[in-house]
Amino acid sequence: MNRGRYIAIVAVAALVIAGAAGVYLAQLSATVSGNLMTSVDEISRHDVESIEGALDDAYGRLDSVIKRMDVYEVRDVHEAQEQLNLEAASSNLFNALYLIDDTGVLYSSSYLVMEAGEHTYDELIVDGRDRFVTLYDDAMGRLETTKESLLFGVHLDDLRIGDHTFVGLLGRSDLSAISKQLVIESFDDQGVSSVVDAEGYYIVSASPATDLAGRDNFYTMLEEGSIEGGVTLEDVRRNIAEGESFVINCTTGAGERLVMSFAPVEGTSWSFIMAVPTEVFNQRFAPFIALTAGMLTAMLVVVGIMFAVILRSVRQSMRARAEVAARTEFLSNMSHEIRTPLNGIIGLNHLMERHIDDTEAMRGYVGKLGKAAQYLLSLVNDILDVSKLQAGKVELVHEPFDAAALIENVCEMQREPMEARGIRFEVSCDLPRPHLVGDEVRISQVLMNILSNAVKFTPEGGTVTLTAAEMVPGPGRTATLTVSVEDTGCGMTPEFQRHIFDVFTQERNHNSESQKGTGLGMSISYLLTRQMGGELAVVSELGSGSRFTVSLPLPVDGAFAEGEASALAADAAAAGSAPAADAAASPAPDGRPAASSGDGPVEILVAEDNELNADIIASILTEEGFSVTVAADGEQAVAAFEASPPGHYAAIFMDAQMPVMDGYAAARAIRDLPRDDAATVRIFACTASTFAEDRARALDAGMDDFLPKPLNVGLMLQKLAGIREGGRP
Amino acid sequence: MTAPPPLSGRPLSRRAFCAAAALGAGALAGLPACAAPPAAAPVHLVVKLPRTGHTVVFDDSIKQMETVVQAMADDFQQSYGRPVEVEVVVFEQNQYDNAVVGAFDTDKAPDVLYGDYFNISTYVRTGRVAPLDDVVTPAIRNDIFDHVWDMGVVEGRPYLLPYLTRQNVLAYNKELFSRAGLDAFIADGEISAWSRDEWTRILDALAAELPRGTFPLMMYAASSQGDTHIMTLLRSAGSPFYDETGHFVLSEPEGVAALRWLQEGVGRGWFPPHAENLEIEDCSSLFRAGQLAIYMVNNASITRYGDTVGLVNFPGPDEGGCATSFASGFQVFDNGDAEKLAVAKDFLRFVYEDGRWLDYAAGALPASRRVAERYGADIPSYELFRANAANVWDFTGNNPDTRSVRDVFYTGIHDLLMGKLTPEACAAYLDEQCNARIDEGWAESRLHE
Repeated sequence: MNRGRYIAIVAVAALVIAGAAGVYLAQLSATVSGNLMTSVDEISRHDVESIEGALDDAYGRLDSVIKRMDVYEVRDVHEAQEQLNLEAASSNLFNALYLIDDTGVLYSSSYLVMEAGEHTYDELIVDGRDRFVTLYDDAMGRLETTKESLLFGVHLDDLRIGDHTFVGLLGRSDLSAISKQLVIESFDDQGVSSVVDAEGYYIVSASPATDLAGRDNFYTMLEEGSIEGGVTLEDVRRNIAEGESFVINCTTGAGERLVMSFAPVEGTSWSFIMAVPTEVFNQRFAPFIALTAGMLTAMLVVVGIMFAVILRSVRQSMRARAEVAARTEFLSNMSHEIRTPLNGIIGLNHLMERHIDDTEAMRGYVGKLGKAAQYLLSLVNDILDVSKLQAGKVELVHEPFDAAALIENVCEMQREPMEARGIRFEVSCDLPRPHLVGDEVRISQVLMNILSNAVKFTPEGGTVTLTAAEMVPGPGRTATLTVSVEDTGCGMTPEFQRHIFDVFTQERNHNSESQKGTGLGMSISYLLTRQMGGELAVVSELGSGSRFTVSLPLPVDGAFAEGEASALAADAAAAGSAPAADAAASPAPDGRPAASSGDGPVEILVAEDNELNADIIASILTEEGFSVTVAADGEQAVAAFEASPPGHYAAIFMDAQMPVMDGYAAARAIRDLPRDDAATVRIFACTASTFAEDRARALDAGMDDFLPKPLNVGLMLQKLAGIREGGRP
Repeated sequence: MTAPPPLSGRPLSRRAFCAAAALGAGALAGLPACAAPPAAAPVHLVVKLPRTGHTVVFDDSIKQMETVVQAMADDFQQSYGRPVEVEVVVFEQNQYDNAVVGAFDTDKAPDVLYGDYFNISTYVRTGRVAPLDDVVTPAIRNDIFDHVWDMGVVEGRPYLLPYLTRQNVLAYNKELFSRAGLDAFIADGEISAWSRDEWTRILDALAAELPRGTFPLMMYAASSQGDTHIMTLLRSAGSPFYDETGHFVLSEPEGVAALRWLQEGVGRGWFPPHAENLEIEDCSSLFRAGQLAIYMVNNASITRYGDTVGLVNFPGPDEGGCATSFASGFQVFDNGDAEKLAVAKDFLRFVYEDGRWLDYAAGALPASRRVAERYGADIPSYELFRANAANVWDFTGNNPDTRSVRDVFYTGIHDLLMGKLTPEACAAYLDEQCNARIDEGWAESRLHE
């Protein structure tokens, strides 16, 4: 799946999640608001019931006043006023009481008499209501107060006192005095409750005035602000007058946004108002938003982690399956590659048995047999190298070497096959400071792999160009050795270029099937280069050729620093020109006595537990004129050496892994023997354990040199030639 | 009106008045405002006053004192030489303690308080009210009438700056007097003074001659609002009321005699029945309705009655009788913020040094000689009340907590009128209770340093 599809999927998922969250929050907001409004309604209902209860109580008290009038047998209006005076004085609700007769004259508990034309309170009586309450307004007639007051009233059924017929009783209460009786809850102190009459004057408010001059009006407050949703002030006024329950959203003149819930108070023209700041709704909603956002984030994180884990698992599974498939293919290829030369060897063995007397045919078969064996050896070496590199077990050596000579050697080794195939080979080498420090063998291996690969895939008449360059920042610094090998071969597809250094995919290169080699060379080269801190890069075009470039950081050899290089070169030249006779007559450079050379053959002790290998090596050495003594294990080898006369053995070939006593112990035992030649006899480690640590272990055990198995006969004889001549090999 | 009003050539509406004040202030404030540091935070000043009716002879639009104080505040805010926000807070007359003491140590604590002396003098002893020596210049001091000035001086230092006074006398309904055959006592153009015997005769005549439901003399004792006139009436038998230490001496024979005179009046029908249950507003309503013959008025309120009433002093220890006086003015509170205290004092300097704002006392009796001289002719019966100033008696007695005394005083009178206390017992009760409040007031008294 490409990146674009991933982005698209993530974007769609994000949109879906955002949309769902939006819908959810909108629904949540509506639910929270609904719950809050329900709470507001419940509190409003409770408060309205409390107020209605207080009103009923006031009406009941007025009824009681009338009953007591009868009990006290009030005879005339003056006695009635005195009785009202005492009733008002003993009441904790009424500040004054008033009787209204059927002519409209009002008689107060403070003896005030207001004629019908001086007031309009009688209108409250004649409007048909048995009980009523209204906010005192001196416009109806000035009573004995300037304070904000309520007037409670009950209709009387023609109460007869003296020569007067009374039709109504009023009770006046200072609003501030009765505020406790009308106390209302205010939505957890977050809202403001109030009661207004139809004219908008407050019956109950958060900051009540006690004087008519200071009273506020609800409609004035609304006028100073604004009402949302197209609701007008007249709508509010009409709804209150008609006793409707309704809700408005408004903004006060001070800029505070409010939600106002209105509920009528039964039996009055009043409206109970619960005003809750919009901020309260937001505050109530905020925790839900935070909770939802938190949970959503947590869910997304969990889903993301699960997705990542699943993706990683799938990728690991796919990688594992791919590796298994690649390994299986690799093993299959290896099996094929191994079986092919084995098949040849078996076939050649059969042919050799059939033509054992035909010298000419045997020569051909033996030659082919050697090639097959060499191929098998290189295959095993490559597999081992890959295995060690992947396991990080390759230990690099850091020794001085001549990069120019190294490159020349590598080139030289490939000149013959290139000439054989008609490939033009061009070399450009510009190495101002060729003496570097590094692992010469591994660098050679890398360059050889690259160059041989170029030769393999370059057709006849093609060109292979090797360019070596060096960049040295300064004396004593690390140089960068860059070697580029360019061919005019078949080239590679971009897909293949991406996998050319993969171990198990290398073999998918079917081009290699027609070529000799394991195909692991590039993987080994890549891994070695990386381990040496360098880079291996390839640029290729299918059908045009490829260019491999290896860059290695290598310290400059301090011994060949500027100014000394020429002198050292001169010394080396002088040493190289020393006469051979002098060298033969002289003791070994390390002071060791030369092995006996006399007239007899040079004696070699071979410690090898494998009888076939022992026979082979003994045969080879014998044919080369050496005298061979074979020991079947380390102990026998030590015994044989101990039993020999001093200087008898010129060299010992010591297998590493043997029964009874291994080669390492045997070498130490020989070196420890109290005889002069114990320290000087040359001991060669002969082992199939070819890792660097194996080599180091052998040297630590006192052995002088290392001959890996299978033996390179030429190399072995080359080393023995020096011994035969009485010097170091 | 003989002199032009200070702000306009004609009476201003309330809105026009405020706008003119703001514009004038803005013009005056130009230079000082420009000189102020641009980023200085404004000082928030809280000015409080009770809701109080008020009239001004040259501006019919003014009905409340808060209108005047708000205009002063706006003018000061505009013209002060540094940023200042003046918040005017109006409270109800019965909310003094909530508005003042209840607001101490809050952001609504008053920095300046305008009110009646018998209420706000209490706060001088809280230690919060700052003396105003540094505000009062010789010009300010010399402009204020001595007898008014003295009411704001405590232990030799001015703690209240008087703005205006109201003189209380009694008014009688001429028609009811005629109906009761008392034409001989009706006099125009004077504040009469009757002897105690004359008072007794007049009240008896009224009780006998007036119809049922119409009563001779005001009386109320349902709340502390009843103290002023009753305290004054208690001097009718010659009682000094206070001794030289400022303590009640009603238990002396003159005091008891006066109490007895009142109690006997209940039985003789001088007062509305159960007057102990009445408030001043009840008597006011009765007087306006022609159901009460004698009621207390002041120089400002008599205008509503026209020539239907005559004026007479309370019966007093001497021939001239007694009148009482209410002074109203300003206090400055030290709420622990030296900067605000300084600005609050500057506010008073602004009011008292700028003659325009003192002019708005012309409606009551101005504390300022200059304003009195300028507007005296326009103030109803000004000369009558000025001439009667010699009979004015300070019913507060300069005691440290007038309001506490008032809170217990009316309860004794209430019981006297009900007959629950004899005059002697009432006198003892009042002496004991009121003097205890006075002593407590002195004990708790703490003047600002």
